[in-house]
Amino acid sequence: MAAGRAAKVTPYPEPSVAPPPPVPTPDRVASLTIVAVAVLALAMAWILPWWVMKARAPQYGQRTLLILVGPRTVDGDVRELDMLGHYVGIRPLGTLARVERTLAPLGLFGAAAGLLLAPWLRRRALRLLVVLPVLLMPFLLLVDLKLWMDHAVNDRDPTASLNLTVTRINPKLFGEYEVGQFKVATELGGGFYVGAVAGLLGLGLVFATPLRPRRFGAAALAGAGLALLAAPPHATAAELTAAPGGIAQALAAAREGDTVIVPAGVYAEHLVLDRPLRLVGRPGAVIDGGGEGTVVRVTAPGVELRGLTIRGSGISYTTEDAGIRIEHAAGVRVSDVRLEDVLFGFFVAQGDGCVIERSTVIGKDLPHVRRGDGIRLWYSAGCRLAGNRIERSRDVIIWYSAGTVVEDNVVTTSRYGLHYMYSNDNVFRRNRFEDNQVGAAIMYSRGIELSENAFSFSNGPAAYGLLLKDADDVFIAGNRFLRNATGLFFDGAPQSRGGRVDVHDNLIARGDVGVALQPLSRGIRFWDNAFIGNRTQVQVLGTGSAEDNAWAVDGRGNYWSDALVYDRDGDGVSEVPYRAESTYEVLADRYPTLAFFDGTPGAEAIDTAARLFPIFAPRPKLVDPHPLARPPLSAWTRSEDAGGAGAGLVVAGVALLATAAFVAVGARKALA
Amino acid sequence: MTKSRGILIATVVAVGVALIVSGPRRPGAVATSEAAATGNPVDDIIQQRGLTPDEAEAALKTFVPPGKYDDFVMLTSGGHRGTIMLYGIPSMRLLKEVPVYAPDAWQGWGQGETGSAEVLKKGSFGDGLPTQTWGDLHHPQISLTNGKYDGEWVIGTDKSAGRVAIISMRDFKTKSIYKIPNATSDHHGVFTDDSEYIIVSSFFPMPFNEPKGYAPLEDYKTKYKGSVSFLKFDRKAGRIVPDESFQLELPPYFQDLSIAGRGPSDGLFFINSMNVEMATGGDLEGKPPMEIGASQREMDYLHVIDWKKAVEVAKDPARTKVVNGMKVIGLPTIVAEKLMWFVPESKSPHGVDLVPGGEYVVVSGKLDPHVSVYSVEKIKKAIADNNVEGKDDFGVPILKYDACMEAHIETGLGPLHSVFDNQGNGYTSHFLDSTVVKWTLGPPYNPPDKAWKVVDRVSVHYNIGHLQAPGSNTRKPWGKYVVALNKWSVDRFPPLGPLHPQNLQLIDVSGPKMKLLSDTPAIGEPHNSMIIPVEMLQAWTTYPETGWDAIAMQKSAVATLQGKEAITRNGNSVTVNGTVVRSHYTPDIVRVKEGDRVVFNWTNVETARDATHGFGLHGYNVNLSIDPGATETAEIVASRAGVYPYYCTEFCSALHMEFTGWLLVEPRK
Repeated sequence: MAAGRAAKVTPYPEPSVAPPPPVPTPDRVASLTIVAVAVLALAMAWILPWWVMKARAPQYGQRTLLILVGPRTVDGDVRELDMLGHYVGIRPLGTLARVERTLAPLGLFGAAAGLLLAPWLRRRALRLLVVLPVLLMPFLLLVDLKLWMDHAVNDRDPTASLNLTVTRINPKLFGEYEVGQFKVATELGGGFYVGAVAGLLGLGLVFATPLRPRRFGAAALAGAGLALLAAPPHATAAELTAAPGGIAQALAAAREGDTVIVPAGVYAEHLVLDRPLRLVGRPGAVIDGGGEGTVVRVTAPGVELRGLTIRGSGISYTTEDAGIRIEHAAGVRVSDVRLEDVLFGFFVAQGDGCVIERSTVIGKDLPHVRRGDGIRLWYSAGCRLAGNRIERSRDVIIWYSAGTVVEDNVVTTSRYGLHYMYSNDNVFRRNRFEDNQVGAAIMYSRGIELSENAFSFSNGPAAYGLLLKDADDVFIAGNRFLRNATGLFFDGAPQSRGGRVDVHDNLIARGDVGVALQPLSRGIRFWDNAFIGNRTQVQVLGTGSAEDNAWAVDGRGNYWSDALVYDRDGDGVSEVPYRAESTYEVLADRYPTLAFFDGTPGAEAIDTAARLFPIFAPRPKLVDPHPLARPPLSAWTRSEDAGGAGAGLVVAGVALLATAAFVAVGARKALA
Repeated sequence: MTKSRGILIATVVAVGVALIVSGPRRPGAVATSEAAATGNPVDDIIQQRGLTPDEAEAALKTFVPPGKYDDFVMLTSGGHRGTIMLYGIPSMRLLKEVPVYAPDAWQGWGQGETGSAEVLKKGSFGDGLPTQTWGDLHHPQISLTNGKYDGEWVIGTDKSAGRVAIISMRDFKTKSIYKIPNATSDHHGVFTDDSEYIIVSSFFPMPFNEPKGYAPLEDYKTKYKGSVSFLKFDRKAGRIVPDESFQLELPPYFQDLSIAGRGPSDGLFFINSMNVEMATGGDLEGKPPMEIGASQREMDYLHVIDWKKAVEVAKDPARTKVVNGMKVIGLPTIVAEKLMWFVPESKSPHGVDLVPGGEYVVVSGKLDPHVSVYSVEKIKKAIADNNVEGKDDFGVPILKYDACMEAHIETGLGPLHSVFDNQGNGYTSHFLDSTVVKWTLGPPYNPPDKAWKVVDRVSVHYNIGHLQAPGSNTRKPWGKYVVALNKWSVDRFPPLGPLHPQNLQLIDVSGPKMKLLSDTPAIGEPHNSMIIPVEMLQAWTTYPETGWDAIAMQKSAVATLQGKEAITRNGNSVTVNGTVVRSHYTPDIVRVKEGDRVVFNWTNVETARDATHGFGLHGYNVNLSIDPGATETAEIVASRAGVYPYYCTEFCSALHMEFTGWLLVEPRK
């Protein structure tokens, strides 16, 4: 095994004996000790909780629920609290203060850098300025926490299953209070105190005599600063390189936080990552399971996998053979990985907060029924699936997983592009589902945003672009539904009183059926959609009527390619309501072979004749009071693939360059 | 065929329409039934009622003229109403409801009558728990002779309490309820091919081996066990013979629906399972909720049991243990004796169904849009070759999935159950799609090129659970109809409050296209049903002898003939041996003392059909239904003095209102 450890970087200079000082005498040892202790305190504070909430309720018996809040994390019984919160409409804790938690490492870095810098600065005001971050950090955290707490408990989801009888809850930062059956006690944690100590020490530095930077000291300081700036978060961890065929060996030798590099080559191995490690493949690195079992198992939190090709899982459903299985491991990140010839691609069970990005899954060359899922998330909250490509698999299936973000994925030639059950508060953006049997099926879930996706060419025996069953608060905007047997199928959506389903700015075109409604689907709002050339624009199943749904909102209906348009005032909205009622359709429902006459004079003759001689009363289906004269532009453009992201990057790049140029010019002027 | 007919219809319609539109109306020129009214009364009715041709056709197909019988009788469960309902097909008229697990005032079942009270009491847990007066009856099963319905017995297991009720089809009355030891919830039970055994799987695993039947849930994997009971059936007496019955101890999965083999699968028994994850819930204890935990894995296990071999093993005391009075073959013995194998099956399956000849086992996992067809031959071969892909935690071998699989048919979303007709077709219910899908069976029913193909699909309303066809899951299906048992009716019936009836929909499957014929509201919560031709019913119209004990199915020891009526006192006990006949009780005065124990034995001495009489006793919560020939007994303690009239509750004659009597309870000093 060819492994070598990188030397550790020492971020600050060793204390050395100073010469007899002039007056005022800077005490080098004292100052540097203060700095060291303060930085150490800061580091400890990073690990310890800053604020602790203890909650007890009868149903938990002797157990106390603990929530531990730090600058970067919310730990403890988060899942329980989220589950309870979910019933009354409080959002998952993990979704709160994302920005602050992301910025926290930067804040800590600033605070530490300030402490390190402070003894060397000659002016007191400057010293005060650099220790300000460490001084303020604890208080900022508390203020922010208080704000978020107020927000979380009071800005509740109004459509939650239970309504709290109190409208306003006043959570306390300190002390005890009661909410419902819960007795809650809150207190400051060790992190706060240690952090405060660091702050006070920093204050001490402000009033201490500054040290005289010597050349050596300055160089070391500059070096340390640069190293800190340049080093990635795992800079202190070692990097190992796997020998040919010996990834497992390298993993065994690695310590927590280490990185194992896999050079190009084919490794016939099955791996278990049971400690927080990084496994990074160089181009051409392939792990081959040889058609047996699961190739890579991740059982430790925080594992990262990058740049590998993993292939050749087994085909057993009993053992659920997968390319990568993540189990009981939170915060796992997989990037730029390619899975080939696998039964299941990613099998994630209880892997909260996992990230799967820019990866590819190509399933086994088996009939649909014998394939596994491209990605399966089971009971894993707060995951992110982004920029992946799934081919020839069964489903991308998300079960019992709240707070998932699915964006910029492409799923083709699979069964359900997305199969989604009992999972709330999820976002799907800019995905493409093509040539699958069902584009996406969303069942028994609430709080779903579907925007700018494309659902096209669904071709199974029950070929829906999007199937919604028993779902609430679903917002479907700017998607394209193209050439599906049925574009959108609604059953029991919305299902709850006050539940909302909004469908707007979508293009629904060239399907056998544009929108199909089961009678339990009531209260859906459709506006600004373009229904173009569907054989049946809206189909009503059973004995229901589409009239229980809104076909126009705020004076804007939908564009219907078969509508008679008369827009006298030129406001883009036709003055002639669009009515859908077709005898031919009633007949065709009954005799599918009549489809043969589609669009022919024969079909029109039947409709005309039926109006003259109503043998069967034509079934009135819906009235759009304000049909649009032209298809809304948004429906055509918003879901264009990828273009948006690219343009965004270009704009950002130009803006950056411009800023840089501006700064450079300004600086030159100032120097001159 | 279908296409050409469709085109034909379309052409005829188009031509007809063209004729109407083009020329002046000439009566008689239009030959189609879809034409406008011609003065023909039938057409006028169709037009007045606004019926479509399909609806008119359905009305004609389902109408049963006055005085005529339906072709089939459907025995449908009442769910937690604890009853079995009898419907006629095709009229879908409700003919009768048979009380089983719950008291019924009309039929005097458990309503003060001692025989039925004893049945309910014997069929309860005992051990200090109260007599259970409800049950959750899901799947009625008709007894089989040579794998065909014989019209003799019906059983209904109780999902709520692990019990089997046996109902005679002679009088459609419940004869016994057997509480199965070591079983707490019996979702499903079936007869073997010749009704030798009633085989019942227990749904909830239980720590039945442990002292007092208790072990903490933390010991679920080690101490909880599933069970399947092989209850010896004495078909003459209609009773279970506990001494000749035995159980297999199973892993703590949820063993659910099942079917006994026939033909090539004779001797095998198949059970679906769920929750092979062995999840126990604990949502407030920080664990995944039950249903989440039970849906983590990809597959559950179809249990394949060599039950005829198990019968032999059960005869050997050295290889069995006795647990709570029941002979049990332990799980290690099952593994050692090779009595059971697993085959992977799609997650959370509902139905496990056997094609008429017994060649294929059909399973659908509700989360998989396919019907999975296993070949019995292949399963047997995999067993013979020991073609296994592993073992479960308890050492039960798992046969290779691909080695047992015959076909996958992509039928739709949420497939649950399958039934079969006599033309080589299967029909599968789809809960999510709300459809019934028709597909073709493989050889020998259809040639290989026409095998396992979806041929038709019909929408049902709504959320179908089970479906049933005459004689399905036996050697002799009759086809013709499929009944969809829909869980929700939503908008199919007028608004009658927030509790909606379920919807039984009759579908005509005799032609190439399935046709929905009618909606019928159901009482209770029907789950499954059995459909039998009406000519196979051999029910009595009156009891064969006067003085018949309906529960014991023999002449009653306390039967009383006319002229032999008597009131006898023995200490504080008074026995009334009386008769009822239109329109009087003999005796019509009964005098007792406060605190006496009073036993009424009433014999209906009528032999006329339909001359049932009642005995409604004021104050003592008694109502008997005394059918012609029957002897019924009620026992009370006359704890409160007073005058208590009794009267006939079943209208029977011109002098029905005078059909009364007096119970005089004289106060003690």
